Amino acid sequence: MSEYRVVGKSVPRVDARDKVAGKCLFGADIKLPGMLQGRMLYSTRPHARILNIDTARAERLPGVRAVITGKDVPRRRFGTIVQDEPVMALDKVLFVGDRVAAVAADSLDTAEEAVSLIKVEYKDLPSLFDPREAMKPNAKVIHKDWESYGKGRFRTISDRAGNICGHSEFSMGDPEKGFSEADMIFEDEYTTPMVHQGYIEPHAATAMVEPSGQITVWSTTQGQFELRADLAGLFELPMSRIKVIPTEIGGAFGGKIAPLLEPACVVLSRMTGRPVQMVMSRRDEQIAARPRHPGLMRIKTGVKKDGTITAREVVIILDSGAYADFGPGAAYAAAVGGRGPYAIANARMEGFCVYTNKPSGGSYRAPGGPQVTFAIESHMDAIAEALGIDPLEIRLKNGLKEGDISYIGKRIERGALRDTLHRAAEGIGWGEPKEGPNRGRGLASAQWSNGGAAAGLTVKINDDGTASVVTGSVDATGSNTVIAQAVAEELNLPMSSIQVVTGDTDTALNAPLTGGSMIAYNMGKAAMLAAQDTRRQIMEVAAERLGVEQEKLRMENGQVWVKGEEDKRLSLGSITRTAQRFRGTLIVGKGSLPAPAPAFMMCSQGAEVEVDTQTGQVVIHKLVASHDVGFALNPDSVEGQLQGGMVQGLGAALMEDVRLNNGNVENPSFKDYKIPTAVDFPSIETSIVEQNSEEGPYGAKGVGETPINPPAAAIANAVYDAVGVRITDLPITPEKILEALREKADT
Amino acid sequence: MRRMPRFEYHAPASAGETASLLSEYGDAARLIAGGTDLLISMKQRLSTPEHLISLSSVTGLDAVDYDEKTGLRMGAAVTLASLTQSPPIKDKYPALEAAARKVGSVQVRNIATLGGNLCLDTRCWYYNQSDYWRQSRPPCHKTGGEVCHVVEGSKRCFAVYSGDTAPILMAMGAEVKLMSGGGERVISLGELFTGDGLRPNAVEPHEFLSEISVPPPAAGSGVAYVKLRLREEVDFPIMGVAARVTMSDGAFGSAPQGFKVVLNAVGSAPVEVEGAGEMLAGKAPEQAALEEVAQVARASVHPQANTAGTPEYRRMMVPVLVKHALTEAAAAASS
Repeated sequence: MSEYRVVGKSVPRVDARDKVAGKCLFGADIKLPGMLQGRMLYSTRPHARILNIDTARAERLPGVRAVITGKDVPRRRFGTIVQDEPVMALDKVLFVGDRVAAVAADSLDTAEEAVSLIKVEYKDLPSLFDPREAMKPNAKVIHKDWESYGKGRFRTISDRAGNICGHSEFSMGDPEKGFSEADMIFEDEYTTPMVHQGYIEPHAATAMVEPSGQITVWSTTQGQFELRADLAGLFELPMSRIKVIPTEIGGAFGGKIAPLLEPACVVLSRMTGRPVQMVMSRRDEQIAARPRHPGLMRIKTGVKKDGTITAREVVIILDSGAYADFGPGAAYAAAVGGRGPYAIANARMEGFCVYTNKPSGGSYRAPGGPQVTFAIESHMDAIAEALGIDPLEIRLKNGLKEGDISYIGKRIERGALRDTLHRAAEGIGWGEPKEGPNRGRGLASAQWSNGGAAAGLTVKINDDGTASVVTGSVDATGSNTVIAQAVAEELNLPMSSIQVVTGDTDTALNAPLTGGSMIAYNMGKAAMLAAQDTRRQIMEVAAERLGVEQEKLRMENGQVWVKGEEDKRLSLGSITRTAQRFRGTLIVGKGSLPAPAPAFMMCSQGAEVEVDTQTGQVVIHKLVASHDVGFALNPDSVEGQLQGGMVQGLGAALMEDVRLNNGNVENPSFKDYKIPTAVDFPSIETSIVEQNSEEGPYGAKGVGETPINPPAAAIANAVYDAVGVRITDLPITPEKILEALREKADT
Repeated sequence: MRRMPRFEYHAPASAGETASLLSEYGDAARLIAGGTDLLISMKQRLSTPEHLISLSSVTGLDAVDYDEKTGLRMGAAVTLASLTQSPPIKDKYPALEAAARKVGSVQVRNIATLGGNLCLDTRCWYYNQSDYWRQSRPPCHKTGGEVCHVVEGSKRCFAVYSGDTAPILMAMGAEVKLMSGGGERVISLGELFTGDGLRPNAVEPHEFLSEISVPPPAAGSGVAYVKLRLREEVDFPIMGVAARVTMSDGAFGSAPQGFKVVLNAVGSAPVEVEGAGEMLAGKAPEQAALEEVAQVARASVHPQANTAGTPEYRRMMVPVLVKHALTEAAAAASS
């Protein structure tokens, strides 16, 4: 590990100072001369035909510059996987929160006033709120033109039919035979509600359409290239006519991918000839953004008396809401990983994503992962309990080991699951006496894989020998710091000499969107390759100028010298300047790579809780997360990702729940939609396992998503250990615990 | 949620000026202190006053005084944060300090006032939504309509009162002073609450709450407020209980008036459990005595499905929290 100078070290984030000082410009900070403020009108009905939209009063309001409805926007639909979503409702609204109209006005107050003056006449239609009903063959089809919808950019192995917008099925070995060989068969059902990413910064978009038709969009997007592709598709324009500038991002977690505001801003700017900005309110975010899909998981497992799993069957039904968005991908991910991090030869997994008249789900940190992990890992403990086996033992016994094949087809080289299990168990005091009654400990393991994407970036040496890096990736996770570290490492420069900027769609090379735990893995690798290319160019020029072979040169701290002849040296600045002046050579390194194979990650987490048997309240005393991250490029950043992911998972475990009342979100604020605060949980102890990946930079793997998978099961298992009741429906509220305790006392 | 509606802002410097502004504008005016409740309701268009009369410049309204004979006097505009930092309160009324700490978050407590917390509007899942949200259903009693979305067919409003400082102050026998152009009146804090979800407090449009006074703590008495909530900050109570007891030689004191149990967030006003003193006076402070009060308390409330906790759960929690509160109060009295 000590072979590296900068990577593998906890250097501070390059953006930390500006963020702490409030100097970062976020989406809503963009201010342009003559800019108008836009507001969206959202549907108040879960499923209705639009009979009429009367915008006359809104248009007459002084200060209103444009009002648009479905009639004024491109008729094309967008979607990551299925192109099913209109820019604005055309003739029907499909959920409370569907976009119906939009206004651009001189001020936000005027825009809001105008929106309230738009009168929409609806004819209510029967709504479908239960995916189990919606997937029945005789159910009313919510998207009657579903067959005509095009495919989005993201290809997933799934098919669709009627209200089922995604269906993926996998099987291996001989499940029938596996079940027939089992001594016992366990069947359980688990459910999880809709939960929201809860990013602090709301969606914000600003569009400016020049008289020439050239479009510039500033957006809080997680991927400027995906957004540009969406806009180019919707407006039927060449990509060169659209520039997307990503702004600093104040949290996203997968929620800022779909173009919720940008197309309307473009249309409004076109009509008014002025820049138009839209910022969602918190209420808008809670009703009309892209939360995590509610999940229903049916899981069946055959085991030998010694705990060996002989077969497993998993069916996952995700509630897609009104649109498919990333839902079919989430259902695919949940199904394909439905065995959990275990070696199970005979299995059958099926994932469904089903349209309903609810807010559309999207991508939320490990889409599909937390739902299926809650089911698998609660179920593992239930099996262990019935067989009288220690929950740690049953995981060690069945866990993927050396030589086993993971769900993404990778052969496991070392027992990373075993390592994380031992560390989590040790950290949580597994097997040790407990400090009091009603205390319990729970373990949960999980797996995930990061995406492999084609990636590229450039490194330029400046005239003074410092380096500027332009990346097309949006920094939501500390990735620009990791990119700087890779460049500093390869060029043997101090971090202070490296500047990383996130470029727009015209200035940066194509990069993957910030999601799928992709950026450090793919862009970190591109940075490493780009810096190596830069180094090669520098050495070539230096060798020529110093009149020696390249092998005789050494590069360090902005200088190149001849080994053994310390006085024969050149600065990087001098090399750069003379290369340009005399050779016409610009020192610009390019790093690009074809999509690498994904990396496979496993982890284990542990919790110790205390349950108040009178109120049902759960107090968490201890939390541990042990993760295989391949190689920790920046250990502090990795720890932050593990803790952040675990806290989001704990929020979903204990309190988060987007409650719907006739399709209407009942808790559209952070007061009523409860995400945990700093005082709710103790600090989380992290333990990093490093089993290098083959293709990631320096052996790194994706980190961002995995930690959100196990927390709910770890808590559920700890609650069971404490008071002997198993909660199968998230969140684990005091009320559910009391109810279960009462039922237990009655039997 | 929409932005602020238009209003005219007034910042009177004295109580007299405040009273005259109130009599001038009447129903068209609202008082604003910290604004943590009012501003949200204005953005939600639950309240659209033409005039806002600020109490922040009124002299003397943020004072805290303690006198051993007369007890504690708190100006209505004292912030919850300064209340929790006030030496006489920390010293003589630690349970009030603890209750004030359970309101909102640090940021809220820094601007929210005691008077505002007492005059907190009643709440319900339908009422406390944006005007856009409410459009999906017909208006309820509290928003000018004729239905209740919580109790179908109900002719009245069931919105819940959930201020955390009222129950403990009621348990301690607090009184409040209401000022107006015509003079002032002093009523017990319990009388401030009407029990009507629609108009939860008895402050008339021309009046304002100026002062809260609490008698000096009696020898051997102890008070406590327990609050049940889903998360430990920024959360209204699922339910709460305040209790006052008097201890004498390890047993409950013999005078029934030394006891008080007040239930919170189960109805449109804090509910005092009747006869608690008679049930507890002179008894050994053990589970049996507490249980009787706990069961009477449970029978005395009928929570509705209007907050995050279900009525069943809140009802189930009444006896549990009553016993917790009494036990804590007894411990405080003995210490």
